[in-house]
Amino acid sequence: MAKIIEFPTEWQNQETKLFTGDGVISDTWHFVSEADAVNLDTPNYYDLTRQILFPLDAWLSLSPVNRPSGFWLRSNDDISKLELDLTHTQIIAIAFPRAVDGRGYSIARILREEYGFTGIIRAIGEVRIDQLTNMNQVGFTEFALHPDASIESAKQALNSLPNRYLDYQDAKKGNQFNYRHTA
Amino acid sequence: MTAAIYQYDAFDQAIVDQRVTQFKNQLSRHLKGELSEEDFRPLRLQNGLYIQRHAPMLRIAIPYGLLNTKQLRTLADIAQQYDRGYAHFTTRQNLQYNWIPLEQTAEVLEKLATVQMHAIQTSGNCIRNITSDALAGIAPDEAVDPRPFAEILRQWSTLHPEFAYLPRKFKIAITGATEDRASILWHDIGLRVVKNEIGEIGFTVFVGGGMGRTPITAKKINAFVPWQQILGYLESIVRVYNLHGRRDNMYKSRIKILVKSIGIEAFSEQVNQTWKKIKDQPRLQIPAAELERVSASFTTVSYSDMAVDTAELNRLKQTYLPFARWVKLNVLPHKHENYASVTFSLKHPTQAPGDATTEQMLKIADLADQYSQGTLVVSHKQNLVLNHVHQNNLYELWKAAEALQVSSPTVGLLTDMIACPGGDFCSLANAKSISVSEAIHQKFDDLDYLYELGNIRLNISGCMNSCGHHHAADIGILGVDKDGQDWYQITLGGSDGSNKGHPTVKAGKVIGPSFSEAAVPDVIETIINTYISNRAPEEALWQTIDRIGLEPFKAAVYPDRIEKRQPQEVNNG
Ligand code: SF4
Repeated sequence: MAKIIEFPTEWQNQETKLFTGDGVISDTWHFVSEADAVNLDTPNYYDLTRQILFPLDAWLSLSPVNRPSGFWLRSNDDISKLELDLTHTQIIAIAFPRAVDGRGYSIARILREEYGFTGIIRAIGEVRIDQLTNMNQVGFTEFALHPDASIESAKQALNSLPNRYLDYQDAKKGNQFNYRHTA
Repeated sequence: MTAAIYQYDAFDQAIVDQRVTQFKNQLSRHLKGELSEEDFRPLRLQNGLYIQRHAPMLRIAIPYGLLNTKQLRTLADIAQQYDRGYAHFTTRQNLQYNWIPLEQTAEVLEKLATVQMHAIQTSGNCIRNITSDALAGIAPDEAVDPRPFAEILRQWSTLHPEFAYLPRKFKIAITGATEDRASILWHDIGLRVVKNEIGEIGFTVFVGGGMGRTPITAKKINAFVPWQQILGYLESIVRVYNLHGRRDNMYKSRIKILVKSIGIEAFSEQVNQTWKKIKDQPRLQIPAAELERVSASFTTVSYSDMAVDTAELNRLKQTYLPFARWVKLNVLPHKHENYASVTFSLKHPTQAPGDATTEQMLKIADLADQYSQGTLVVSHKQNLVLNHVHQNNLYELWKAAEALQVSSPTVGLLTDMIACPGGDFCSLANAKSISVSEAIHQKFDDLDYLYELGNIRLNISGCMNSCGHHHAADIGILGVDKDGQDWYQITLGGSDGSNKGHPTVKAGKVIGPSFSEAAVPDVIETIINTYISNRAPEEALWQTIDRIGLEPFKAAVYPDRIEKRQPQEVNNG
C-alpha cells in the first residue's frame, strides 16, 4: 500500500491566516499537533480559551462524551471505512501535506455527501489560493492560508470560475442534477 | 444525417473564457514573482503548458479528435504567428506547439477560446482529454455513436473540483464500435458503449490499463453500467484511486498499479462500496433531456443520394495505380453507401510523424470545407481523417492531397509509424524519435515492397513514458539512455485492440539488448526479412510472430548471442 506521507510537523505549528471566502476571521480553535496529542493527560498545555482540535486518532481514543466538537484529518485517514458519529461535531479540518496531494478533496466530499456533515470543513496545511475554488466546490468553508497570503488575491482566485458543469455544493442546491451551474 | 461536431453555447463559452482570465492572472502573478515556480507548475500543466527543451510546449485539447475547419485555420494561424509554422498532432488526438514563449501563452489561449478551443487538462495529474474512435459516427461496425457521451464526459471531467490533483494523469477512451480503434484497453478507463438484450444503452467499463514502465491492459470491472449512471460509476472509480493510489513513487502511481497490487476483485469491491453510497444521488443521474440537449448541440451533416459512379471510379483506379493504392489503404467504408472516410497521412518521409505545417493545415481546411462538410478528425494514429467524402470526389481529393504531401498511400503499413516528439523536443526523452522514423522511411521507401508486407504497426517512443505507444505495436522501438547516447530497445508482438493486430491486446516483448541509432534500420530490416522468410501465405506479421514465437527473430537479430548460448556440442571427429 501507499507509503504514508505524513502531515509535515513543521507545518503543524505554523501561524496561519484564516479565510472564509468573505474575509479573515480569528481562529477560535486550538490546533493540537500529532506530537502534542501524545500528552493528552496534560491539558494545561493547551490554550484553554479556545476549543480543541485533536488529530482523528486522539479524538477517537477519548470516550464519546469527552470528545471535543472538532478534529482534524490527515490525508491518509480513511474515513470511508469508519462510521464516525458526527452529531456533535462542529468542525473538521483536513490537512494537505502537499499542495498537489488531492486526497483532501475526496475526503471533503465523503464528509458532505456520505456523512451529510453540515459543519465547518477547514483546509489546513499547504493551502494555496489557486486551489480555493476547487476546495470550495467540494465543501470546504474555511481556509488556513499562509500568513503572507493576499486576501484580495484569495478572493479573486476563489471567484475565478463562477461557471461549473457540475455543482457539488448540494447542501444549497437541493442535490438535484445541476449541470451547467452558474454562481 | 449524422452528428458532426459539438457547438458551444454561451455557458460553455463562459467556462473557457473564465479559464483564460484565471490563467492570465496566474501567469502574471508568476511573472511578477508572486507565484513560485513550484506553485505555478501544477497550474500551468493543467493549462497544457510544459517547460520543454527549447520553450514551453503547449498542448491543445481536441475533444475526442473532432475539429471544424475554422478551428484548424486558427491552429494554423497560431503556428504561423507564435510558433515556427508547424504543429504536431499526437496519439491522444491533441495538438502540440513547441516554440511558444511563456509570456505569450495566455494570448494563444485567448485566441483558441474564440473558436471554442482550450488547453484545459491536457497535462497534469488530472482527467485528460477524452479520446475516441476516429470513425465515430460513421463506422459501419458501430452500435452506438459514442460522441454525445464523450461530450458529456468531457464536460463532467472539465474542471472537476475533486479530481484535479490525482496521484498521476488519468486517461479515458471511449468507443461504440466492434473494432477497437481507440485502444481502450490501454487506458486508465476504457469505455465501450453497448446495447443490452433489450436494447438499452450502457457502458462496459474496463479499468487499469496503461503503458509506461509497466505496460498493463485494462481489466473488465463492469459489463453494463446504464448510461444514466455512468458519472457516478466513474466518480467511484476515480475516488478510490484518488484516495488509495500511490503518491510516493511516480512510477507506481497510475491506477494500473493499484488495480494490479490489490487485484481487480478487491478493487472492484472498493468501487462498489463507494458506488452503492452515491449511485442514487440525483445529481449524478444524467437525465434523458440532458443527453438530448447535448446530442442536439452537435452540428449535423447530411448525405446526398447522388449515386456513386462506380464505372468511373474503377476506370480511374485502373488508370492510376497510386490512386488505386490510396483508395485501398487510405479510404475506409462509411455507413452511408455513397460516402467514404478518407485519411490524410501525416507520415510523409520528409516530415516528422504527426507534424503539419501552417500551409498544409490551411489547405486541408479548404479541402475539408469543399469535400467533407467542414469537419475533420485527428486520429489516434496521428493522421487527419475526413469522414464525409462522397465517393465521386475521391479522385479530385486525392490529387489535392498529393499536392499537399498528405497522400502517402501507406495507412496501416510499416511507414504509417506512430512517433512521439522524442529527444528533439521533449525534455523527458532518452533518445530521439524523429530521426529514427526518418531513417526507417529511407530504408523502406519502396511502396511496392511496403504494400507486399501488408499491415504492420511500428511505433516509436523516446522514453518509457510511451507517448509513441511502442508497447502496442507489432514492432516497438523505445529510446533508452546508454552513457548519454541514444540507444533503442526493440519489442515484438504488441497489439492495440484494432482488427489489424493480435486479437488479445497485449504489450510486445523485448527481443534483447538495445541498439545504437545507426543500427536500428538494419535491425528492422532483419526482422522484416525474418518475417518474409517464415510467413505462411496471407499471414500478417503478428500472425507469424504468434505462430513461430520470438526465437527466430532473436536468432536473426543477434546471431552471435545465439551461437554463444547454444550447447557446446563438441565434435572433434
Ligand atoms: S515518450 Fe518520452 S520522449 Fe516521447 S514524448 Fe513521451 S515523454 Fe517525451
